[in-house]
Amino acid sequence: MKNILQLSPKSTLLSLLIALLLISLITILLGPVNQLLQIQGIHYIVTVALQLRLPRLMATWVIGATLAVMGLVSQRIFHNRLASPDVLGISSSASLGAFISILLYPTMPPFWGAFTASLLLLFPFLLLIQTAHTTIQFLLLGVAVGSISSGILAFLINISDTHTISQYLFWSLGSLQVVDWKTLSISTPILMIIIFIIWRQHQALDLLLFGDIWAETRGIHVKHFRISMILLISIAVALTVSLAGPIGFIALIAPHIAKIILPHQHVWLIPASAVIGALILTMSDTLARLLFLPYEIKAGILLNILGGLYFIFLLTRRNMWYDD
Amino acid sequence: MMINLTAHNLLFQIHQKILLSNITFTLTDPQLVGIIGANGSGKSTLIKLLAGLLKPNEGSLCYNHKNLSSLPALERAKMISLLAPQWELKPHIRVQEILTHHHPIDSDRWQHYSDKLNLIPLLQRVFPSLSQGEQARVLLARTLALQTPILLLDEPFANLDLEQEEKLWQLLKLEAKKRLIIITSHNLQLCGHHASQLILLRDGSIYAMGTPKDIFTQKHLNETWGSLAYRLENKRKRPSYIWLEYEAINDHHSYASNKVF
Repeated sequence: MKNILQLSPKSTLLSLLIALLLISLITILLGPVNQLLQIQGIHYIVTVALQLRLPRLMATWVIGATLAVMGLVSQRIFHNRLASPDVLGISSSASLGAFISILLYPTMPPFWGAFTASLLLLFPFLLLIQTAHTTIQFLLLGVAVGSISSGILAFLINISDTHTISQYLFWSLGSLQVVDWKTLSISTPILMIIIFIIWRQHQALDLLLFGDIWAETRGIHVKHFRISMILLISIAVALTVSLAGPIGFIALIAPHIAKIILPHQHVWLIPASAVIGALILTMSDTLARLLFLPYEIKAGILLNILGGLYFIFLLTRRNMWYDD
Repeated sequence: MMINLTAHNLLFQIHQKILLSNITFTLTDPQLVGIIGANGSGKSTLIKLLAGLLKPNEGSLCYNHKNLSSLPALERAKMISLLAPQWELKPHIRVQEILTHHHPIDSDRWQHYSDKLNLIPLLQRVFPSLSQGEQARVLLARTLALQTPILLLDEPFANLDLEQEEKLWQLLKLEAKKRLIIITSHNLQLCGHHASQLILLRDGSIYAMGTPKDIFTQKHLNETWGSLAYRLENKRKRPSYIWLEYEAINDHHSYASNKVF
């Protein structure tokens, strides 16, 4: 199946990878050079590249790829092109955990607080496994947990001092500067494994395109599948949000773009979304770093604005004329 | 190919309400079987039971002497395929991608059915942009192309006009030479004409089962559809047709079904 550019799926995927590598190379090389260069020379550049920019690049790759794939799977299992992992309430509970962590242990990165809080979310879902029959029950639970978490968070913000609040705000805008190399190196294999497990289920995801009844008659236990996907998404998104704060829009945009340039089969859509997600986050982070020199803004800010513009663009497209 | 679908004393209920009871039948040989009955008589429920979507509370359902409930889902999927009437989702994919989903693009199978169902001009169209009838034909082609030994169809002709419906019945009759096709329908005329066996359901149990001639007695018609359906013998060797009569409060209106035949 060829796309508009008359490339086969393999070639398209390869082109995307090459684009990612190019952008990443440029990212590592671009940046402010100051007087230290003249004194230290190449050694300085290598230090900056390896110790500052490379870990950050790895973070953008891993987090971008994960968010994109989780977004794709959310859209599939909730049968909605606008679904994203946020509907499960993970971002909100992770934010609450992060705030509590900042409040109680200001010097520690909020990773563990955020991660623990978002994992606690999994327990209500596990309870729901026995009784849930419809998709909407999962969505309701996600919205409920998200709402309650946001409410508690707002209350805590209300009673906290400005220093804590500003630290939390710093975290919540979605930034990759603060990603800790150690936690990243533990999280990366976990996230890669989750993406790989999902990729192996590409046929089941394809069958879900036409509804639960068709998938069920073609041999998929839809209820079990949905639950296992929700659990995987929850763990993966909990990790990414705890690492870099809530980053929006990649989960929505990357799968959409993948569906335009690749055939509608998840064996291609999953890796393509991953690469496109990594590409978008890397570009956003680089722009965020360089656009307002000497200040650095957060990647999350850029994504919000660009994401909003993308939605306006989506409104004009023909495939939005039909209901899903 | 040996096909043996046996149901024995099936009972299905939800929350104390019994939807199907005493369902016992044996279907062997490739053939076209129609399930007919008034609304609420359990046709769709029976189809879902046969497809494995629902599990019977009592009784057993066996295919080639293997109990369907104990078969792994993938094995069941290789034997039985179902076309359900409610497709809520209309994904934004082209018809050709839908049809080639399970088969390589060069394969003959899907091309054969898309040809028979007149889908060639629609191949590059996107699914949601098709009319209801066209969508129904695409999904039917996709289900037929799977070529499972048992094919279950739950009112697949609801959105099709008469001419298309008749063509599809003829296609299914041809297909039924190779596999067992069970279809529910409200069109008594076409069902009676094309199916080799009929199962008449009433209030969740099998009221009668046999050839159309045995089923479409005036007694059965009266008891199932009241005085709406009349059987008329046609001496010109065309199939007997069912005349539907409708009495308005003040007037008498007659409404003949399928005058074409």
